[in-house]
Order: sequence, then C-alpha cells, then structure tokens
Amino acid sequence: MDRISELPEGILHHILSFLSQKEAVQTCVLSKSWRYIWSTRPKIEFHEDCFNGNKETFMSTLDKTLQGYHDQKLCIQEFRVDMWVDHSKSMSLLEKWISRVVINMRVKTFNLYMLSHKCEYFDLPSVVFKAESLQKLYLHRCKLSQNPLDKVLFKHLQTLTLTLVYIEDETFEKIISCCPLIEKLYLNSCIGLKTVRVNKGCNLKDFVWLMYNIQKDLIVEINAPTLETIKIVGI
Amino acid sequence: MVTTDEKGPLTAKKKSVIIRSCDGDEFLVSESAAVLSTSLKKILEEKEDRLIHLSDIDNKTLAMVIAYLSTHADDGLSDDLKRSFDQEFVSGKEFDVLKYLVLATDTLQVTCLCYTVAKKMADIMKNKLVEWVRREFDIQNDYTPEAEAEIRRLDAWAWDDRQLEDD
Repeated sequence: MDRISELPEGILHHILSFLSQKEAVQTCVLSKSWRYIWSTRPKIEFHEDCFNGNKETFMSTLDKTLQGYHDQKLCIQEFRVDMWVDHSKSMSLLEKWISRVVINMRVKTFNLYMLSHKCEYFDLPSVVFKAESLQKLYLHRCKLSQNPLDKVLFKHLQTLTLTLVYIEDETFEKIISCCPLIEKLYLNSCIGLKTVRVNKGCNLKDFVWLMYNIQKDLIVEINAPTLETIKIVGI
Repeated sequence: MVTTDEKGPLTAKKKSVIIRSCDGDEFLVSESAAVLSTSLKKILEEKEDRLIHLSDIDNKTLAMVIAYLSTHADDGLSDDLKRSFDQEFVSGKEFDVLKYLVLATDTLQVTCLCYTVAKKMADIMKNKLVEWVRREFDIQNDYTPEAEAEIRRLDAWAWDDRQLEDD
C-alpha cells in the first residue's frame, strides 16, 4: 500500500476539503482507488470563471456533481458558487440546487458570490432562510425578498456577510431578529439598508458596516453586551 | 516508564491519567489535557481506572498528541500563542508523521488538531501535478493510458490552463 491511499475515506475527505474543486477532481486519476473519492467530499466549490466562458459546461458540471450528492443523500459542510447573473435557465437550475443544498444536504457554510456587468441582482430564493443547519452565510450581489418572510430559521447562524446585497430595513430586521447565535455581522455596500437594529439576547461580537457614502439618516442600534468591535466606514 | 507531560510533576490536587501507547510506553497526563480528546473524555467518564491503553497509537505519535493537548489545556497561554504553537507543531513534519498524527487525532477525536494536520497535508498536495503526487506518495497508477485519458476527458475543465508546480 502507498503512503496515502490507506487512510480512511473520512480523513481523505477532510484533506480534500482544503483543496479547490479543480484540485479535488484531479485526484480521480491518481489510481483506481481514487476514482470517486473527490465526488463525495463534504465541500463543493465552483467558479464560473474556471470554465473559460462556457456557461453550459459550467452548469452541467455543477448539476452532475450535485446530482451525485443528492442521489447518495450526502450532506455538505461547505458550498460556494461564483457565477454571473443572466436570464437563462441556469438561474432556475441554480435555484433548484440551492433549495436542496440548504435543506436536504444540511449545509453549514453557504457562500453565493454572484457577479454582474449590469449591476443586476440574483433573487435569492426564500428557502435559504429555512436553512436550520446554516452557521455561516456569505452573499454577494443578491436581492433579498422585499415581501416579509414567513419564516426565518437561522437558529445556528454565527456569521452573516452581505456584500452589494439589495435588502430593505424590514427584511434585515426580520432576519437578524431570528439569529440568536450571531457573532459576526459584516455589511458591505448594501443597497436599500438604512437601519440596523440588533436587540439584546444575541451574541454579537463584531459589527462592520462599509458603504460608499455615509448617509445622514442611518440608524444603528446595537444592544449586545458581548460586542467587542464596531466599525462603520464610508469608502 | 512514566513520563510527565510538559507541565512538570503533577500535584496531588490535580487529577491525572496514565496513557499507554501500543508499544508499552506510559505517559502521565493531566485530566484537563486528556479530556480535550472526546474519546478519552468518554473513557474517563465510563470507568474508574486511571490507566488507558491505546492499542493503535505508537509512542512517538502519542507523545506529540499529548504535547498538543497539554499546551491547549494550559490556561496561562493566550489563544494567539496557542495558534502559533499549532503552526509550529505541523511545520517541517514529514508526510508519514502527519499521517500517523491524523489517524491518532481521528481515533482520539481531537477535532482542532485533526483540522490543523489535515490542512497541512492538503497544503503539501496543493498546486502540484498529478504525476508529482503519485511520485511523492508512491501511488501506483493502475489505469491503462486509454482509461486515464477517458477519465480526464469526462472532466476536461479540471485540466485546463494548468500552471502547477512540478518540483
């Protein structure tokens, strides 16, 4: 036996979870025993830019990979997708998988990094707010529902980072009031947000709010004895 | 042989445990260090005996794990110091040493050390060609050239624009 293949699959998965998707996939040609190990590691990370502009290959690879997890009823620790917003059917495919990743696959870290040349936003499906297993949520260029959400189940959420996210006060307040364990809250250049109210009873330690222009009518009320750092910066 | 951990001789007040490696060496460890391992904690909760025999961890690996546990159980050390100890702990270690360590941390359920060691092992593989990884870890390529080419074709995107090291 060689120097690495004898390790139990759980440990190999752990090691592979520190590699990029590309590096993890490449391990399939090491030898026959490595053929499928990458395909069940607890992390998924796809960047559209790795596919040289071929959206179809990108989407079919994402679809095929996630289908494998779905068929085997596997859970995922970490999910990250970087992709361009467009008006093709790829957005509905993304929505379908987001729903399965946050509910069935019980993801703990969810990172959706949407990009757009035209300052468009991806409408985040509200199912994300029902992700009870979620501990860390990172969103970039997403739009969060303007309608009051019926339910937010972020019982375990510790980190929330919103960058270039369209979110209005009412939605933000509803979400943050349902995060009893929140420790880190980073807001960067969010659109529509003027009021941040964090009520007592939460564990907030770090609060950062970066914005292009500091407006006059901003309201920040944080009532958390655990607070260690607070940073509000106009950039 | 009984070796005390890095904190020196234990006082009567402080509870301690003796842990025996598979090759018979015994280590005296404070209970506060031992319970950082979920497995050891369970054993200690279940039995009165203060001697724990680990049948699949050798003395060198066990000594390293105990040094780690003792450092992390030391309330006098700041989190920053513990973090730099962790970095120091895995740096420069041979892959085989890391392999036995990761197996031991898996058995003993020491989550944070398992994380540190697995990450270090991944760092060794990062940005390397498949051929380098095979050579480094003596992995026998049992694919036929045709089969390997076919598998590469299935996920062709993963082999595009390669700028990997082959050192």
